[in-house]
Amino acid sequence: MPPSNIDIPGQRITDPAEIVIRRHRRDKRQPIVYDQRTRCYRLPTTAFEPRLPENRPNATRHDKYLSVNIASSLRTSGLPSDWGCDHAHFLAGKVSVEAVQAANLTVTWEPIESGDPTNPHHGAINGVVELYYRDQDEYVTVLSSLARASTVLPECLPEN
Amino acid sequence: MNAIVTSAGSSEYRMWPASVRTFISAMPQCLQDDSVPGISLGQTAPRRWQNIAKFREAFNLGLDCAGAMVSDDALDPPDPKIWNYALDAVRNFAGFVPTPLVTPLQLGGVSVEWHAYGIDLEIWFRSGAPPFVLIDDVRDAFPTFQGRDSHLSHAYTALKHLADRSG
Repeated sequence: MPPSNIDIPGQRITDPAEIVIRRHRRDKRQPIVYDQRTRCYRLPTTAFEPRLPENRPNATRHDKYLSVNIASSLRTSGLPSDWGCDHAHFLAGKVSVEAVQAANLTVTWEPIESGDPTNPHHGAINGVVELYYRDQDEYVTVLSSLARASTVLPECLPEN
Repeated sequence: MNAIVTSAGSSEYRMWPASVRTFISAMPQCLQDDSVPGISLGQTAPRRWQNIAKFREAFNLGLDCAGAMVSDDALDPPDPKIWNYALDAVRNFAGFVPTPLVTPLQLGGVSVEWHAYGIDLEIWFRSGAPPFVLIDDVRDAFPTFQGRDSHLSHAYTALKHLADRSG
């Protein structure tokens, strides 16, 4: 199910209240970042790094955008926010579209309709890869702003 | 010498380039207890040893994570030059500050970060440019900083504050 008011793949999601979910690979023995300003657990800045094509001539995959899941799409389908997140190896954190827009990035609905697995809830944060090649300092700053705006899903915290 | 052990002693580890495996096996030399200079910050030696052990473990966990991500084709292999540089840059603080979070970056880089005692400090090490440092002190004892820190002077200031606060 696409997010409300969105029915064309690639269409921009502009509702600032929409939430996107980003997964981050981690070793379970690593600490989770506790944001001392917001007093919430958040994703580290590195969670928002795309796979850059540079230096990867043999890589089979690199990113055009940051992959996320669209929270309202999951919710409409009756799926939990941490859908598809293997807690043994991943953290999942949420970020509002408002925070993404504040970083001068955009969110689009990009359902994965072929291949294995498919993901109709898949979305993209666009502009990060381009930013890396335009201004690497701004790139880190923007990733940091996304990280600081993120909150780890309660389902991913150790007590759960 | 304590050996660095990666839980990726497995197929993941064997998939890494030989240079990376050599680098990992060489890492403990940087972190022998006696390699830490005797800066007196009021901490007892056993506590310093514990901190150093945890510091070493943090780098191991970062490498384990990198190994898993490389296996998933989600990451470029760690660049030994960058990781060694990072380790060398911060190892003098190993005995005196809380355990860092060490996470791999794309293009072989590494991020070393602390989020404790009111201080958020992230140091991004990547080839071809000075480290990028993000500093935020919730207690406002020293200025926020975001930018290239060629000699890590901003980072070291934050680390000294962190050592003082955690002492």
